Amino acid sequence: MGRKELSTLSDGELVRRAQSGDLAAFEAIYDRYHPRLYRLLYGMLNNPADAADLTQEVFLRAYSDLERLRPESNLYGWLRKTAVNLGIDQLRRQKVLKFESLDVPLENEEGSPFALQIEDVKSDPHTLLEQRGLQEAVQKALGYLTPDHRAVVAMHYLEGMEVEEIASLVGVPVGTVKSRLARARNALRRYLAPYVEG
Amino acid sequence: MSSFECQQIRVQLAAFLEDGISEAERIIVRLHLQNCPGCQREMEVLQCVPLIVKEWQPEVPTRTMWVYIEQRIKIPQGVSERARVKPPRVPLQRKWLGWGGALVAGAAAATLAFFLLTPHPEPTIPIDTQVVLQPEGYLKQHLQLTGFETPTEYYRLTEF
Repeated sequence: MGRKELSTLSDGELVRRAQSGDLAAFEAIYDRYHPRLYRLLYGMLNNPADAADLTQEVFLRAYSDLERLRPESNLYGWLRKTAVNLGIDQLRRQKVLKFESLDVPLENEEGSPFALQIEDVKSDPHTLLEQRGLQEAVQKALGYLTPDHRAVVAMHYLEGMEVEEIASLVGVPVGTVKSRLARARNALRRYLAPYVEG
Repeated sequence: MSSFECQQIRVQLAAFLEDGISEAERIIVRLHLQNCPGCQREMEVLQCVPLIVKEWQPEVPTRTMWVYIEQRIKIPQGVSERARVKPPRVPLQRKWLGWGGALVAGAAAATLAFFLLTPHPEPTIPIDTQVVLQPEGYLKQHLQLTGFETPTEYYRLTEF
């Protein structure tokens, strides 16, 4: 069966074929879901190399656990959960290093909105708009968030995960997730002012 | 609307949108928004944030990632995890140095073991010292011949 035909099959059928040793079927699963997982991990980690490493790890784990996967189960849910767990582990490892929060001054709402000067975001937002475009602006804005805020933003805004699910995966109360989302929204509103004020 | 009231409400707008405030606070925010176009506008701006973020589509290294995954998958079953990772190549010179070092260390250890484990004979008394153990008559005669007055002086001066 060709690549095009495989892409039309359901997840369950692809899993069944992959379980019987059809590598093309597993590649079809990869083709279907890797962009979303990569984007989620990139959003969480703000690092393309780490995101690529962990995306690969997700699929390698899926392959080694193929026998245990039930074709009728939610394949993407399983992949996403694995990705989020790997992402959280990575963030925890990174937390060992000293982290200098860039959006705390925004939360304090005292004086200048940007205590730490970051390139030209404050000085000339229109230049940012014109020269770099929306994609880069969002990427940079995500990068300015703290890892905790970025992780919940990636899971909730990019992936549409429920707050309760995020809370259980991250291991914090639901209220904490909501509070992080609110603070992150305020921070992003400032960083992305040229776009959101349109 | 007073700017102070607007300030109070705007601080809560993001939490309002994320369902992170109490029901009583929600009612206050809603009532304020009904009568304040400025805060309504701010609310709309905040509502745009997730929509803008959702538009982010980073470039995905699709083939690079798949090539790596495929390589890892195609390693035959039964190959140990140790064999999957190719050990770094050690230069020949360093390898030989390593072997030479091990050889020298082994030889040194063997010598030390031989020295420690082999029984050593009791030290023999030097012939000159044996003079002291000779019968008294012989000693007196010896003292006379050598010119010493007492045995103590003899021992002191002939101590080895």
